Amino acid sequence: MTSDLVSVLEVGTTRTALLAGRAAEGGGIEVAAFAEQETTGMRKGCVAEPDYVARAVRTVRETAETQLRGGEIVDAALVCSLGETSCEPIRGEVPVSGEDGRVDDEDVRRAREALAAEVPSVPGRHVLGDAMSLFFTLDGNNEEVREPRDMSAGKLAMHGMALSVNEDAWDLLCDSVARGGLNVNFELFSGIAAAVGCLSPQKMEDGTLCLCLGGGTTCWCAYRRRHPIAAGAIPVGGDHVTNDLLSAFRPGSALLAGRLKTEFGRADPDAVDPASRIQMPQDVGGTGRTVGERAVAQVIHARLDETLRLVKADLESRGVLPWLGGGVVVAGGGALMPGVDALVSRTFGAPCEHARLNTGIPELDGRPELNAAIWGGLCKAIRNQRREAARNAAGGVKGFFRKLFSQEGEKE
Amino acid sequence: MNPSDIRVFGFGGAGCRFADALAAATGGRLAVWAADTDFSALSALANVPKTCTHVIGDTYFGNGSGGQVSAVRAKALAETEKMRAALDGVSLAVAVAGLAGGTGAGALPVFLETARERNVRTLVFAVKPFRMEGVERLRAAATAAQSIASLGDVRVFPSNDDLAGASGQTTLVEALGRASARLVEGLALFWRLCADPGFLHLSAESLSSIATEGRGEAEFAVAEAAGPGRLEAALSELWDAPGLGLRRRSSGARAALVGVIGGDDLLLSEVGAVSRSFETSFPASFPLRLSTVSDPSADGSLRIVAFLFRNWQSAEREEAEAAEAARQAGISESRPGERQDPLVDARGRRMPGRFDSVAGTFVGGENLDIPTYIRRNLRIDAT
Repeated sequence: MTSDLVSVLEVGTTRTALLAGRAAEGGGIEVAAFAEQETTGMRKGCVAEPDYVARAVRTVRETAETQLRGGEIVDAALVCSLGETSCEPIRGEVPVSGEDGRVDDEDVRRAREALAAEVPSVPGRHVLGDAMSLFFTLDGNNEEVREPRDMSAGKLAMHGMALSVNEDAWDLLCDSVARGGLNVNFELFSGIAAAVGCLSPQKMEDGTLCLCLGGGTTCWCAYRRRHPIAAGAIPVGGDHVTNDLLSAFRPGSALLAGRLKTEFGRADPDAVDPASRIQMPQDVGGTGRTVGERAVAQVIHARLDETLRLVKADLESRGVLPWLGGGVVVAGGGALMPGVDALVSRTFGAPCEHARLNTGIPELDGRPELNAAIWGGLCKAIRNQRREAARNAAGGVKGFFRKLFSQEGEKE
Repeated sequence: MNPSDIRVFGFGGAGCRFADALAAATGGRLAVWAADTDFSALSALANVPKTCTHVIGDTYFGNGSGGQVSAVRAKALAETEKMRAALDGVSLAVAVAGLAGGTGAGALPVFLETARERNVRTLVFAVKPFRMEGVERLRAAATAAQSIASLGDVRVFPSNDDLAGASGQTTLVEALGRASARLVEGLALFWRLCADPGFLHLSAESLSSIATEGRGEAEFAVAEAAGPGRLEAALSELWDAPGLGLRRRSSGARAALVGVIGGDDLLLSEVGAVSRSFETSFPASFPLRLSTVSDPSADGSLRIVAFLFRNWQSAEREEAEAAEAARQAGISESRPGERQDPLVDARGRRMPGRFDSVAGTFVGGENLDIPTYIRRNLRIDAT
């Protein structure tokens, strides 16, 4: 018996995609529809032209509905980063009131409430999905506990993470999605979605950074002990590489600069023969021109190197780098650039590999770098649906935990 | 560039006092220029030649700005010729100002823009007020700091609290004096790194290069000790002093410039110990520029001045040599530091960029929408 249909919408700077599926028997996921469309109204992860974004959303919704053979998609979980996402660790602590000093359900419930109360309320910021609960600690110890019930303690603390984005940008995106005919019923940071989509349980345990090099933004999420330990996003991405090439080589348009990037771009200038020259992409009737392949790589390398250093600086400031024993996994369109993995590996001092998917769907598995976030979003949305169904079936307070994420780290 | 090509520019009451004290501390060898809206305050400067002072805004009758930052800025914009004249022959401008008042906050951004137009490297010391000065002045300083966040090459924002290293038992007079003295001492030591002889002499060209490579925000510290145990005392002050101690401010630092000034009794081991204290505090690849100055009058003492840069881009010398014949296609050759619209060609036509319709992305005072290769002064062979 399958659960209700769950839809996930990803509105990126380069691509808008919708993935619909159901929880299948045995714990798997049955994909029902997948549609994608080029996005033209986004800049640096934010809505620049709402009409174009709404049009893209409407297109993918209608295409997906066609695949469902008449089914209707009304609600969708939204995967986004909105250019700049900030991450703040939070903690809520309560005294243990259970019998014999043992943690019980009531203590856990109060700890979740205490955590929710710590979610920062900053004017101009929207917190994605409210508090994300990660793990427990007892009596101020550093030892992380995933299931504290029946454990003896005087104090129970729940640790979480609050991810926030610009409120105006969020409202504009939701409005554009609504105009495309979808209602946002779930919010998910794209960095975490990508990590859930492509990190194995072992990598989540060992300490791995999932780095998503998107068209408008670069977002990341580091996992360790099967829960996020750091996350963030900056509004710098593949579009900046394109713009840099446009500035340096004057191909004639941003479109041609994009082709220069995708057809000839490399992130490792040292691997390029200094004498090698490439034919500049041109419009019909344009005069052919050649440029040095190494010069193109130098421009690209400068931008990517700077971007990666910004990510590294953030992780360093959080003390996360020493814990990345599992290395780095790159996703996003930028991961397709030759030489990127070597650059990432050099920057972070850790092995780097490309994202891989094993969904069984060729359209998804064939381009894992591009589909990791949306697949991870579907996994999380279905997991959330299962948990709510279980709570409702157990007679718990309906909707009490609706806006709270459950503990992270469990992979579909 | 000669040491004489370095000049200190003080703006506002605090900045002019710093400039005056620096002139005294360096025996008049360091050229200074002072600008204020308060004629009386300017007249009271004992060590700044009158020809090197400027009253901003005649209509104020030289009585001060009244905290009117916008008005000061407007007046300064109308008087940029004075600034240009003062910048003649200057290769590195050290600008100092307090941020809480009107004149420093209003005139400093105008000066930095003028210096940039003339391709003059700038080192900015913009001092934040004491916390006890109140929310209004703190907020004014924060606003002023934001206005210069993308101006100037290397920017240091020390607070008076950090400079004074004050505790609850410090008197107001002591705190004010110590804050001023620490900044002047540090800047004077810094200037001496390239003005005075030493084994690891910091040439003015090196200083200019450092100002380019370390463009962005920086931290600053100064330490001095004398007598037996001077090394340990100086290092302790450098790293762990209340306020200016580098240890709590070193997170995120990407390079350092360290100057050691001592007399003829300066030991090799002492210089080595200073260098090692940085090597052990940062990764192996951390760029450390070390400079020493020998001053016979400093026998018995050990002085250290240090800068930690939060941004660092090593000069790509191989590309610079290979790019001697390189130029950007269609653009007239630009000198380092010159800001041009990267999408305007030699005919003045502008190609639409990807980010024309959206706000810029600023990180660390830099607009990341500007191509990285331009901000890093990389010469690209686009032919």
